[in-house]
Amino acid sequence: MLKPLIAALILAAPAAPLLAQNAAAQISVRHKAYEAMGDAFKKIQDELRKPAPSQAVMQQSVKTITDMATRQYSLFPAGTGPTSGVKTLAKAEIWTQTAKFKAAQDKFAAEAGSFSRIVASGDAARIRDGARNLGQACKGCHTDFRAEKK
Amino acid sequence: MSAKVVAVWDRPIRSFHWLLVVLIGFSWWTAETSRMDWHQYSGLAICFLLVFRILWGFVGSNTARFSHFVRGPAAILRHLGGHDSGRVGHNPLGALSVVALLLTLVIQVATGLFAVDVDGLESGPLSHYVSFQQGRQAAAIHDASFTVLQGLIVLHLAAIAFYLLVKRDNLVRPMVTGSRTVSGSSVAGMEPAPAWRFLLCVSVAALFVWYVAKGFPL
Repeated sequence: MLKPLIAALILAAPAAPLLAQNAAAQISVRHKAYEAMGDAFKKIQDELRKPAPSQAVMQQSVKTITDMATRQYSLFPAGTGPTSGVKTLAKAEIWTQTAKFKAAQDKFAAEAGSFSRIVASGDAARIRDGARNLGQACKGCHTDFRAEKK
Repeated sequence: MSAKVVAVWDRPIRSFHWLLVVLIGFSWWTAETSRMDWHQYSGLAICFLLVFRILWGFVGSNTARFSHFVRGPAAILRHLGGHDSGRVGHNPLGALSVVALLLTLVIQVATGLFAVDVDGLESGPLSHYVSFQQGRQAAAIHDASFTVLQGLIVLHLAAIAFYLLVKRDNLVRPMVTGSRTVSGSSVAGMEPAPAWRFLLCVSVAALFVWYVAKGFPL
């Protein structure tokens, strides 16, 4: 029942505002998307711990991250914040400081793009540095726009 | 009644205790100030202390051994009823606190080893054995168990204050000097363990932590 709905939401992501009535489903989609990205980012970090990191795994995982850099813009429709009544760590500032939030999203998109190019280079030392920079972009936005877990 | 001075805690136990005090404080501070490199070193050092303490609880001096102080409810009730066991070391009620503290610390260290932060910037040395979600769960437990640990430490300090102020018994001094005054000549002091056992326990603990720090390659 829920799965086709979520699938439909993913496909209809650019038209997300049209579906604003279903905040719970939208928040769930957002949560899963970020979790999938965390998983992908972790897979890269795990490879980097190995003596011989797998280029294939890292390339595949970085794709999830760059896809998310595009998708993120549609994941915060109005009405999916703390006032939605649904459990979310998204802060109200996302919708009140829109320019600042957009700048944080753009920063992540830029970092994801350059990280993808660094991963393509296959140089483990550079990928480690790149991962750190990308993580800082994540952290920067989380600090301002993601609530601390209670 | 005659009073005499007897040994209570051996050097390994006292060193363990005070190093733990310093390292728990240091771990807390490094976590609060996001000094995660140092937090990880501190956690590994606590891991070393815990592995040592558990081993010492089986082969160490008699007051260090679990078999000496982990008692059943009957012994706890007798103690609460004012019965004096006539021996030094943890009393049956205090033993519960020791076990709770050690267990919480084991949970604290174990979850820290697998924890992953939400930004993917920091992760425990064994986090590659779990998924992102499991790593986040480990971090959540790490967070919650520290609150439990804080509560247990407050209880520990309250008990010490109670002994000092109400029972006029200073429990801190023996943990520093190793010995205390007892009334009654029948009270036996701590029986130490040979140094080679200490060296063996330290070596095993160090080896274990070194392997964990390397990511536990199988």
